Amino acid sequence: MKIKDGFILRKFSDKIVAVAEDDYADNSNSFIKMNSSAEFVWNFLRQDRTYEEVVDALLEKYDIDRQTAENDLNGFLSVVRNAGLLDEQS
Amino acid sequence: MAVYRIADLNIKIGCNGNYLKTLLKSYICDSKIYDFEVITTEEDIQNERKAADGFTDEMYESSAVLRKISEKILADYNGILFHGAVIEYKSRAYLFCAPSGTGKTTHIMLWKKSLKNDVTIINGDKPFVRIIDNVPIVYGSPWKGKENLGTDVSCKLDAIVFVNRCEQNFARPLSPDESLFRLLSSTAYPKNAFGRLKAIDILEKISDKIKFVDLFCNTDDNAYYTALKALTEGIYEN
Repeated sequence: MKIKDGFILRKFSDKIVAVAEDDYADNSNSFIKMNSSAEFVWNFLRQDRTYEEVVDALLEKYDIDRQTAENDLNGFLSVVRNAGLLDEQS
Repeated sequence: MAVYRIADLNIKIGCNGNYLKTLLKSYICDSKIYDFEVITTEEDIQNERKAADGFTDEMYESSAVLRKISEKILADYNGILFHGAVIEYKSRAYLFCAPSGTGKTTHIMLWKKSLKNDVTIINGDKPFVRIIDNVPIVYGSPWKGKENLGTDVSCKLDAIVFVNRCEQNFARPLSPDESLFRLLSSTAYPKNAFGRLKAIDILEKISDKIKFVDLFCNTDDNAYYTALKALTEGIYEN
């Protein structure tokens, strides 16, 4: 799976906002707010990765157990999937 | 073409229809010097029609001019156009934002009714906020909404209040990041990457200097008091 192109990440307060570059995106599809671990996953998924690769990367980067990493990742994936930003064909 | 003074800028505006001429009338200034110029084309009018059908060409001219001014101020003059109703009370401005029809005007009229001449309605629909010397200043504009509420004054912006209709009256403080999406729904900016990022830039600068309040209120007289307590005393109980 891979994050689709066409978004720019920008800091706002203590959150990260993904901003659509698309001229035709409506407001609800133009902005996604996330925390710093989500930003890490976002950047990691700019290249095609498997679910397991993302979990392993989270475990290496953060001091968390596998269950927490999977829960965080599932939450993130549901947000980007609902926004139509996840390319899951591979 | 005349020069008009809007949001502390001299703007030369090409204006054909009487609708816009009437709105702009009291904003005319004698200066020959201007910060920028706005001319609308037939294509601009068509674009406004595409965005919202069912109005007259004179109204489309007005919305096209407002759009061009707001884009120029966003790009070059450290400011952004809000959709909201803004009042001044004791030298502080409070900007009330909500989707159309929620009751922003009804709410500010409660302030006016209770506090009378201590409250000035700066603008009922389309105020500008600019960062001047690191301070967010809100400006009235010729676009005052269907009730035509507003005066050509400016004031330091102290807080933005998001109005929600509710049977009870209560308020809670919001952080800037909790407010961001609602700010993005309450402001005007080009629907492209540059416009969105520029809007976030300005909103971040504004957010650093003001407070945010989520207001749940009915239309009883004491609804204003819930807002007043939260805004002036930081008291969030009923």
